[in-house]
Amino acid sequence: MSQSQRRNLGSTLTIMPFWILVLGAYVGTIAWTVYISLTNSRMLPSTKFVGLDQYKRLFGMERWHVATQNLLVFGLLLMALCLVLGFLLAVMLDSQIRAEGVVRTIILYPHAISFIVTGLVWQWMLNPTVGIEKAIHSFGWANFSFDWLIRPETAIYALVLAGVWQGSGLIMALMLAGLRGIDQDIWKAARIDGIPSWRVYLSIVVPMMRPTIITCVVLMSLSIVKVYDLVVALTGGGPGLSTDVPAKFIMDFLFERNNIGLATAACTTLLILVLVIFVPWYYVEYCREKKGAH
Amino acid sequence: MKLLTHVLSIGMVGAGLLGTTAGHAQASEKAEVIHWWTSGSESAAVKVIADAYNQAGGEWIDNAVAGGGGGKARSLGINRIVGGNSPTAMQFNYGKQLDEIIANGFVRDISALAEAGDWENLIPGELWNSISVDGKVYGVPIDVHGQTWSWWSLPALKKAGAEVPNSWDDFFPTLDKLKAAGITPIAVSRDAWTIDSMWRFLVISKGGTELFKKIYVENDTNAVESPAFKDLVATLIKMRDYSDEGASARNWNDSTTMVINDQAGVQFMGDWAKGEFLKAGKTPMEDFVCTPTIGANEGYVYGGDMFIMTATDDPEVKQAQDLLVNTMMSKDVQVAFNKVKGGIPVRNDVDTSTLDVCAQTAIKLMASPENQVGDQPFYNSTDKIGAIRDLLGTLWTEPNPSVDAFTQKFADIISAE
Repeated sequence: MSQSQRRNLGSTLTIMPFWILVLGAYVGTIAWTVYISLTNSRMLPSTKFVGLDQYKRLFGMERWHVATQNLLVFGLLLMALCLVLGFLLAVMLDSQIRAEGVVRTIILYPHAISFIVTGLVWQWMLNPTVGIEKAIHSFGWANFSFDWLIRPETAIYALVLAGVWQGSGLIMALMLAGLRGIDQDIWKAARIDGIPSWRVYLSIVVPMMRPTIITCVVLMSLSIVKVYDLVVALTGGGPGLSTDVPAKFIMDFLFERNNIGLATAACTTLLILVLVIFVPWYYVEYCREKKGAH
Repeated sequence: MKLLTHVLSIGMVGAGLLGTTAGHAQASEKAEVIHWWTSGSESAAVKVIADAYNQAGGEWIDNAVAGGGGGKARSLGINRIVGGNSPTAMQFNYGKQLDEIIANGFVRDISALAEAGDWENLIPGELWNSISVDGKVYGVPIDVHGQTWSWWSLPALKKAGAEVPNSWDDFFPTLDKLKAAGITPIAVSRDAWTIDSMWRFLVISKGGTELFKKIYVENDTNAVESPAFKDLVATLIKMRDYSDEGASARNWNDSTTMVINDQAGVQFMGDWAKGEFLKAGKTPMEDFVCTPTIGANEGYVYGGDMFIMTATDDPEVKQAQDLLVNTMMSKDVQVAFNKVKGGIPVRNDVDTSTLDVCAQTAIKLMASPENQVGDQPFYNSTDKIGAIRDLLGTLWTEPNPSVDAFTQKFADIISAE
């Protein structure tokens, strides 16, 4: 046994319990979820196998389609807005402004607040009878209307608004760290060549910040797929079902409606959706790049 | 025989002979009880049971779980039962929620106690069916709650120059008057179940007891496709015009507060809303009017709460459960509890003269079996009820609701499985 092999054995043994934990806790529960989704379980797990019946019912449900569409709209908008806004804020902070520390803290602050509180605060602000609309009316602008929250077709944008408020601070912090990691010589070189700074950002800095942006995208995606508390606090899935999301759908059927068969079918579908989107992307981003590098 | 004497002696404790028999009870019979009564009047009501239990020699360990209309408390309780760490007792609503955990043997059969207390002759027949499966009793009924009441603010009506409508012909004119007086006619809340309360008020009150039973008991699709049903849907759609913008951000009790403060004319809600009125110092028929129906139809859609005792082999736990069951069923507790909670006692042999006017109306209605209408959970799964609520919630908010599309979807839901 060579020196390096022995060292590897030691570290393998050390890491073994964690592997068992990970396999048991994550893969095991995922397998259980998939298994339950193929049974006729209602309030309690049952072992009666019904094939894909739960999935058939799931895809026949209008509510599930609304929920997945909402996730798509919410996810894409939130992602795009947070990335753009976070980047712009980071650029602003990076340009040697005064009191950077204070501004940074203020912008990052919303992230320290939970989604539940965020949801409640925005619920009050967006409520036409007590919030922003009421305030502007009392300032004398009587025609002003800001009733996103109570209209089924716009309520999802209210969610995006609250989400952006909460999430862009974190993106800004990450982007700022990325910007600070860029070699200052590049800026000097660009200045000598007389390139305008917006062009430097767009053509040089952004491509160089690829790893940072990927981190942001991954972090955002995670919180988007599992978004639940924000919806519950801000809209309760309403008006009607207009802001329902898959996580709320799952929680409703898992607990209040005592239908764990259908809920686990929804969980599994969500997992497959995530895998379908992320596996190819992950492969392109990481695996291929590594092969090329070595 | 020994068991019987034991049961009887505890029965006497429950019957109110606290002083004489409390000495027999073991030092402390601990009972951990999971329930979801957390609002002001609710927790005051649960304290009534807890105090009576402690006085009878037990030790009440309170485990109140807020939120989700009881969904969270139920899932916590069920998880603990399945996980082998059962509470002594837990709360359920009447209905089918319970069937599955009974079938799995998680609930203690309390038929002996029920027999000793002669429950079968004391409580409504439909309720008896709901707490028992195959002749065995599993639930301790604690209250009967009317699910579909209307609560009218008298000062608001007076300001609008209107009265509580006597017929459905007067209904919309009354709302119009309220609207003209600058009062929000109907206080609506954001949750779909509150829309469902309003809807079932319409079904029982405008549609009638027979239609209600055809829809929810028999799941009859012909009744759903009838003109009478479509008329109800059209009425509900028309009622949307009498709500206000703030509805989508209100909980049910915020809407009740609007009626209490005379900012709204009427709210359609179960009789737990009464607790809010009483807490605000309002008197029924002086400050507000409660009526379970408008017009000639009579009927009382009821549901309510019960407790189940978890299955156990531990004699000490059983003893604690026996004491708990008899405390909950005792006349004093039934009356005192419901006075605070807003419902009516399940027993027909108690003195109800101390209850308020609204409760008297309910007791009178519940006295005749043809008026007793068990609410949807008696006959429908939570899944089906949820699907109906999704449908109603959507109907209430979508920009262009269609009566026919709604009817079709409603028929699909009730005919499923």
